[in-house]
Amino acid sequence: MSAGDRHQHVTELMPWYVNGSLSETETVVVEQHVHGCLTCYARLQHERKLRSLVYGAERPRASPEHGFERLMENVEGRRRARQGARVSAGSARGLRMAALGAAAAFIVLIAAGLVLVRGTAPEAGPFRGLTSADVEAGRPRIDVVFAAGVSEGEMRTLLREIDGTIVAGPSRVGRYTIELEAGLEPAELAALLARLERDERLRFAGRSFGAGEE
Amino acid sequence: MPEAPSDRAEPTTGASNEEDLALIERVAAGDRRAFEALYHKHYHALLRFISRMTGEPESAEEGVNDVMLVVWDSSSKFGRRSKVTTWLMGIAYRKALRILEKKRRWFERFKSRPQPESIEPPHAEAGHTDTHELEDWLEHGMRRLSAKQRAVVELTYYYGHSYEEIAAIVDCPVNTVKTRMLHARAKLRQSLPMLESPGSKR
Repeated sequence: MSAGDRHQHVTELMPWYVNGSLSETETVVVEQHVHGCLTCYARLQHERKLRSLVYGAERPRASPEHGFERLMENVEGRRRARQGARVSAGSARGLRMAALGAAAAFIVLIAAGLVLVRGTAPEAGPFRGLTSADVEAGRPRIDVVFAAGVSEGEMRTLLREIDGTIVAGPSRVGRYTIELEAGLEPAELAALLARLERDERLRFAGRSFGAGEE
Repeated sequence: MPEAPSDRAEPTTGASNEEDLALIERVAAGDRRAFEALYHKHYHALLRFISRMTGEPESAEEGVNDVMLVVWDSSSKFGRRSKVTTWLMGIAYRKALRILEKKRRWFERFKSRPQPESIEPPHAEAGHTDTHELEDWLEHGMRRLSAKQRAVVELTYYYGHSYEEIAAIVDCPVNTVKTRMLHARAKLRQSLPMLESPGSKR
């Protein structure tokens, strides 16, 4: 190996020399070279500084207890959804009729201007319709209206949670149409919508009536 | 600023990996207590990694849960071909890349907020910066790196992985790991002049 090649080789290995993960052979190569090369010796000192900086960078603060609770809610939710899907396999027609009935009731509620008040904050002005779900062929779509004050980060988090992508919106009243992943069973979609109804980040969640109607 | 472990740190303990393997076996059998123990043990490491890779601390907790959901679903398929930490970090790496991809698609679709321009900080003079300012420069420097370069930097300097382990985590050749590190260090030197070697050109 030429002197130039060794120089480059040692430079490449430096990050892993300072973190102590090199093999014995490679460690000897670095140490012998640095002993006789002022440039690489100085570079090594800077490498140590960089490692200290990265190591000391502020760590995100969060509670594993809280995180684990949410994870297990998700695990339980999936388990219940799968059980629900199995139970409903023999009554899919009944579920579809119930969903159509709920959709009709929902339209009546909209027309009547009924409002379901949630919480005590008057400025929330929440409107929650009844949920309904017809699983469309392919990718089902739902409509949501986010609650006032929900940040863009919280919106993205919710979309990740439900594996959805916004395909339309916001409308004049702030409605977004979200497309979900294909393959959701009717019971799974119903469970998802039921969960979203209770989600504080949303004022409304329901089956999509089509994009851009307002 | 906390001191990093010395250059010649102790090798990664086999005892820790054996403990992880025992937990994984119990998780595969549906043991939720073992799952909770595994979660607590690796939570902060995963949280920091996803947060640093994506630049989105607020999304990192959900990212950790997505990683552990994969562990819950796939623990029976863990074939002991690698250390448990290598497996976990590999899942976290791919999860972080998906978070970044979704973020990119969000901006492209809605352009609700312009993508932040990369920040070019003024030069920090060596010897005239305090700890917080150095951390700010480091943060700026890290944001100039690609996600894959950030991953290599974090996995090396914070998590102490060898380049072979990093290659396994990010699923690329060893030479690619070294190349990404070379480019990352070059970019970081531009943001942190006190890291430049004497006589090097800028």
